[in-house]
Amino acid sequence: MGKLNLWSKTTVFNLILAANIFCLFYTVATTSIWQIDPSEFGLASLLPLPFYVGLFLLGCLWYIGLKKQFYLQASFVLTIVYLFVVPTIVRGPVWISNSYYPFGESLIINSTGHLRGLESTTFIDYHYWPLFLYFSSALTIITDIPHEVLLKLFPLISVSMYGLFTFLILKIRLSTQYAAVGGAFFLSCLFIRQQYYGPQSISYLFFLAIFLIAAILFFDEKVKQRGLIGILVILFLITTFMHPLSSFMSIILLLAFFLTNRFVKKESSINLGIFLLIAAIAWLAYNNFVAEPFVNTAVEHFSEIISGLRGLNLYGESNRIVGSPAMRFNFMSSWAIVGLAGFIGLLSIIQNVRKFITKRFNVNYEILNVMLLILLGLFAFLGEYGDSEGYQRAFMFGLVPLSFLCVSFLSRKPKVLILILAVLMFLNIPAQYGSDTFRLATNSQLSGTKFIADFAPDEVILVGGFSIYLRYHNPFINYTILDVGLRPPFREPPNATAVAEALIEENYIMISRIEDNYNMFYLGFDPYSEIPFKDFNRIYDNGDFILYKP
Amino acid sequence: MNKKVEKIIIQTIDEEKPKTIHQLVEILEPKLSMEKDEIMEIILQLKRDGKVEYLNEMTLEEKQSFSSFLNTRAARWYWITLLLIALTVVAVFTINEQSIFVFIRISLGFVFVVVIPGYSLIRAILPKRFSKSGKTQIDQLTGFLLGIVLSIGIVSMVGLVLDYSDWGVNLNSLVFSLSILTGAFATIAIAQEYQRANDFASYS
Repeated sequence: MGKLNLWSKTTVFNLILAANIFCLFYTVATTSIWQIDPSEFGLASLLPLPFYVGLFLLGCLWYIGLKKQFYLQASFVLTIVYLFVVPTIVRGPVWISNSYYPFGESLIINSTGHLRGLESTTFIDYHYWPLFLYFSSALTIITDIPHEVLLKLFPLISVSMYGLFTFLILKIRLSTQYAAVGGAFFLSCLFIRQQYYGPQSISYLFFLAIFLIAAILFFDEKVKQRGLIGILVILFLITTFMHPLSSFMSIILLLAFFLTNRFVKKESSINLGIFLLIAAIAWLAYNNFVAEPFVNTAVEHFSEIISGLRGLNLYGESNRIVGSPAMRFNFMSSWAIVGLAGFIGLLSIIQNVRKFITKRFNVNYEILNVMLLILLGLFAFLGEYGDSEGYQRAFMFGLVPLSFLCVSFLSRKPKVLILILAVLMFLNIPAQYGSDTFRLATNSQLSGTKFIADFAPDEVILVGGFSIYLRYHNPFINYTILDVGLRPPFREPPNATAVAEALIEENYIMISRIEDNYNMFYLGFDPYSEIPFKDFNRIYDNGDFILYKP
Repeated sequence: MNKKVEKIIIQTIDEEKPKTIHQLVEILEPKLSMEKDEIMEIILQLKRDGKVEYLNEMTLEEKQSFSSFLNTRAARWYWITLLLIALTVVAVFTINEQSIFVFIRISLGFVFVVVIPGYSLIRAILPKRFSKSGKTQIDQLTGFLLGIVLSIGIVSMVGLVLDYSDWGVNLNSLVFSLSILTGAFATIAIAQEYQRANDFASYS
């Protein structure tokens, strides 16, 4: 009877797997997207029904395959394929367009052989933390890979590695099957689009590697320490030179290990304490001496917050205006992921803290993750990063501990766990791809910005968004984008008259389909509609991208 | 080291008088309920520390020469690494963007930049243990992922150093530096593995 059951399960799994793969091929064969209309819900409404059927079947595969290694591997791979690979293949242009701006800076090195001595234009050009630029330069010089291919496909490698690193980190405490579910849980929650080709996505790999090594060092007693400590030091130094937030988060991670070791495991932590101190000093020293403007801006920013001149961005988020149904759907699905994972995570935290207090269970690894989440929560509520993404980044860096806590909490109820995983996978599509109407690097945007990069005078003043391609086409162009109040987060609708007045005084105005889509997404209307463009000189027009001069 | 284990080892040596370390491990395995390679590690540590005089006199079976070790299966990865470096050097200087064989350059170049440097460094830092179980300090997947991450780091650091040199960052300087560095890591790793292979001669 047992054999019959096993045979039946295998047959069912294979049938579902075959149907799932059919849905996959059907989606890829029948879907090709080059631009998306603003009335759509991003990619979410353009993917055919078989894609969603396949996603449902994937949930079934996870449930049936939970006890066999091959099934787990197949389900894990298919999760990456459904959530990341298929969307990449069905879209023609590079997604997401942000990949172009750090990549463009690396082309400076390709053309001149040097980066040193060049002035940094903004923090986000990463000249202060240049390691990614060197890596990207080396990769393109040696392989001669077409840029579009690299920008489209490298994020898939990054995201696959995120999933695998999470699996390994979770496997230190969980069984292989639940570690694999944890990896899929992590990927399903990863909706914040930070895997684009840039320093932040690569340095996130370094963060995960540091997490894994530290976890092995502290929780796997069979492993010899010396070599791994050496690798840990190398990884931290490289992260410091590559991305300030990731290295800062690595320090927070090490602090969580230190606190757990010192106060929960109650073991001597002198070496870790010294390492943590040196890491913090190294981080401060590097950023203070090499990236001085960054530190000065940060100090100024936080001084304003402390003195009450400025509020924390997080607390203004509830005032955001909702411009379009697509934006509403995108936000609701994003918050549903955060809410669902956060709620289960909270239950798990309460359970583990109770276990810790009663001292009946060994929950050191669990408490480490709780500790890390608390520290990242402090960063989310009290920290700032970029315009309004501090809490998003905190969520991203907290996803591994959150996945661990959620999966370990639900591991006794596998049906519920898989159901939640399936729900998260469905939510991931609108949360991650719901704003794709303006996130694709379309050919019209690329060719329009190339025209400006090739022919505009140096130090040109421009109005309009999506200028990130300018330094990709011409890494030496100096330009200024004038802020006319059309940058998120929008907490009140821009005044169309004020926008019109600002435009008339400026040099060049870029109007594009992508920017229209962007305004429609965030505002629900076109703030340029009242501008008398007919009176302006049309310098360039490729149908979807127009350059005007008043 | 666990004093109790140490005591059992010394006691076994005194009572059983084994001729080789291999024999000693065979005798100790049921007594200690530990894996053979773990016991071997402890014995070699005792030998290195010179704590047990009798251990210093014990031989470790026949030792291989370095050149004969390079012809064994265990050194195959080393030759593959060197071969990949050589093929990449040929590909990058002979295949250009317009060639129909550009995919070969892309594939080899990608492995050359993103996989091999870190893989070699990992093997140099954490040399593979030689034992019947083939156990390593970290599992293969961990080693592979860490290798990729370290490759990115190594290539970035090479770029940084080249930027501050007169050479600058260009095809020649990058290929030359990465080939030398990766070759050096691989050679250090294989030398360490040779050392360990001799230490664990009775097992390999």
